[in-house]
Amino acid sequence: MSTAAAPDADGVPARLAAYARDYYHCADCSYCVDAVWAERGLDGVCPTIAHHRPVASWSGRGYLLAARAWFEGAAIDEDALAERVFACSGCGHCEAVCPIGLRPAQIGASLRELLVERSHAPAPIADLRTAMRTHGNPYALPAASRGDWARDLVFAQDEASLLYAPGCAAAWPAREEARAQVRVMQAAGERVAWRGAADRCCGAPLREAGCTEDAQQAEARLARDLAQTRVVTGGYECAPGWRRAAQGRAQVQTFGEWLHEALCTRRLQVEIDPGLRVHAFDGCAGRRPGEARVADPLREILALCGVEPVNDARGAAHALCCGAAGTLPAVVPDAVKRMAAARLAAPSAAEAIVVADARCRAHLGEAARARSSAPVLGLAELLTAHARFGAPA
Amino acid sequence: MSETSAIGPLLRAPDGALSLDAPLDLLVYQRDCSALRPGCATQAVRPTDSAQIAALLREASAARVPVYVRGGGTMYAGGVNPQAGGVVLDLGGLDRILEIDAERGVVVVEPGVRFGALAQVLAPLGLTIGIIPSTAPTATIGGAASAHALGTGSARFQSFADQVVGLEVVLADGTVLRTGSAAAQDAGFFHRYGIGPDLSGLFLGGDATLGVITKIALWLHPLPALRRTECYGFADPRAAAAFIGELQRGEVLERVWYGSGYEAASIRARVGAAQPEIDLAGLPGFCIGLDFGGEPDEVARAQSRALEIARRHGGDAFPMFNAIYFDRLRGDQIYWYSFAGYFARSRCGILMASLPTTRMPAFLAVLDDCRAQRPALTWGGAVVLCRRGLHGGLMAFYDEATQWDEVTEALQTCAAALRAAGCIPYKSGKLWAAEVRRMTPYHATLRRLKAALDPAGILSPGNLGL
Repeated sequence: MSTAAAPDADGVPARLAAYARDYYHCADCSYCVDAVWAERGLDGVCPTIAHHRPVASWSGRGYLLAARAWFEGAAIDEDALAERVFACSGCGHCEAVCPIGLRPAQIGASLRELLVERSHAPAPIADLRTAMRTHGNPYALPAASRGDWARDLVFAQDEASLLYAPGCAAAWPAREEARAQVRVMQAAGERVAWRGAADRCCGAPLREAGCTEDAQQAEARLARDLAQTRVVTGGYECAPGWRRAAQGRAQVQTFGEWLHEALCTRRLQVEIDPGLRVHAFDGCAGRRPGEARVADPLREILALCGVEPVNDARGAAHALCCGAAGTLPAVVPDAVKRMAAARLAAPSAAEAIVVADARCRAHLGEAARARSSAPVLGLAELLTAHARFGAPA
Repeated sequence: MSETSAIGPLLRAPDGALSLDAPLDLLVYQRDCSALRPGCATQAVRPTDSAQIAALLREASAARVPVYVRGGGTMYAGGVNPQAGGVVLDLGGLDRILEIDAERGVVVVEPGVRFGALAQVLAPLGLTIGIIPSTAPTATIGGAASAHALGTGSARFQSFADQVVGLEVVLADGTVLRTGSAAAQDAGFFHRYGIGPDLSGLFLGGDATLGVITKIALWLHPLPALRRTECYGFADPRAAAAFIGELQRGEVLERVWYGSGYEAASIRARVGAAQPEIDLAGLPGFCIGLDFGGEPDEVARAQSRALEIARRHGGDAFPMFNAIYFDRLRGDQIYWYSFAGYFARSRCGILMASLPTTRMPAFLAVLDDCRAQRPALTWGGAVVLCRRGLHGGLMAFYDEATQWDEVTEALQTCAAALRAAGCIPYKSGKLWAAEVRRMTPYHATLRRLKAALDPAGILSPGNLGL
């Protein structure tokens, strides 16, 4: 029973040493697994535990304990560990609720990275890498169809005020949102550029899958011919990669961040029918760990548009991931359907469910169709369908 | 904590139960929140009903395989640590609220229901089970019943076990037993006493050594119209103990749902953190927070009377501490003493003890000795008011990488000192096993009961010294 790091024969203990404080201070309170605390809006924590496998080894607590055992020199079944840590959305909820600020989600991310390096990633991750290398997107769709979303749209390739990077979700399954985002930005007077055939994945799916080297290469490609000083990403998960790529040479915003700023500065003026019953779909981007965290101003945007959602903000910070994120869809496809269905079970009184992140929009849109629930709209889709635009100030 | 492999026979999991034997899965079943060393199970089984548990226990008895029963794992007495190997029975899959009978005033739940989940359902109905611990988000009702858990004694409700109407228990031979009025077929749970001895009491605090609790019926209470916290400061613990004693002998306590007391170091730490400009030397040497509940006029009268009593014992209102601490707890519906850092700093070893109110100064003197003798550990302590007497907790926060041995030794020394100070274990598990063994006739009787109910000795070996 030793708490010392194991001899560093294969480099694993040294890699995991960064989290030693977490290992030895965790009180096993299980908040990161399945806490329920109504006064704090908490009703469950880990979507994988709730909808895939109700055993703590599949949660942040399990990642922490596995990393500790490995750090201490225990023999680890790396394939079994991979099965567990790749069934994580990376939503960061486990870290958000930890009463003492431990980092189970970041430990999970490090384990994924380590397992990829040691060739123990599950088969769907290998498929993902192949898809990225072959087609440049995680869906293994033909690269040539990446630009279909932009058909008939007019772009300002010269003297553009910003570069629009839709991301893979908005380029394919949520393409209506991508088209709407461009229209909204143009309504605000932006001269929107798009890379056309040169547009490609930012590498976010690879980074989430622990394929860090591949992701770095993808990010390096983004920076190569970056001419604009402003970039707006359609997908929330795309922004961190673009920020790393831009290295401060360009301001990178998600579409949500751009829209929030445009409304606050009145560059964009909109009016929405105040009688419209909208359910605000609270996402998890705002609590993702480390560099993956992205501001999610959905409710502020709706308020600026004069829309009061039918669902109040209680619990918004603790909403469970819908299943769209991380490696979940590739690794546990049935579970992500249950996650989406659970999130869609609540908003019955709404005419529309509004989602900020294009990836959630794509995932939930499909689930909503299967359930015949209210339609799921991206923020831009909501505006183009239900708003009147004033002239840019 | 590097034992990730275990050896031993696997039991056939009953149909419908989840069986786990991968070392990575077993890692999460090694221990609870205590500083006690982890155990190493061969298998974990997660059933979903009593019949599956009965089938498993029959098979375990035949094969003489130890079975450790686990709820939320938030205890700090090591009761769920599988020190003898074998099977961990994870009751998380029995998490249904079976019945809310507002007319009878009874709620029946399965053991894996979390306090937080039950409170979430009851609150909109204007109901509560009364005692809700700080571990409520993850602690289970079954764990609390089985382990005398959550020391959240209550001035109004006494101990958690006092809120139990009856139980369903699966014995080691697979017999399904119901206690209280539910022992009579089709009668249901509405009375705990009346049919001979109180068999519920055998299993409440039994640490799953005599049977596995599979249903718990609890009394329901209306949520009070008004709740308000007040804090009273005293020069020293002796004056505070006299105040508590007078409260416990009088009528005021009828309106006090929870009460807890904090020693000088805790007061200074919290005030210093919240208001750095304050001169800490001028703060009281002990404080008591009371959480009043009832109709507004009843609460006002009780508050006024409590202040009068406090002043008679040299104390006075201490609104600053109320604002920075007790009122916050009320807002979060948390009624646990201390929270002085449980979860808020790191791991901690905790010894919980029951004591007569008059022994409170001696209990706190033990804490002072611990601080002096083990300065490398960070110590905390507090007491909770019961209807009579107190529950006290001593906590030692530690870094498991460097201080595990030290905290283990410190807890042993501290337990002996508490015994010498007239305090006895409250919730035992394995932490206090040696102390339970010292209570010779009591422990001998427990052993005879154990031999009768669990002849193969499979249920939670080591708990309560059995």
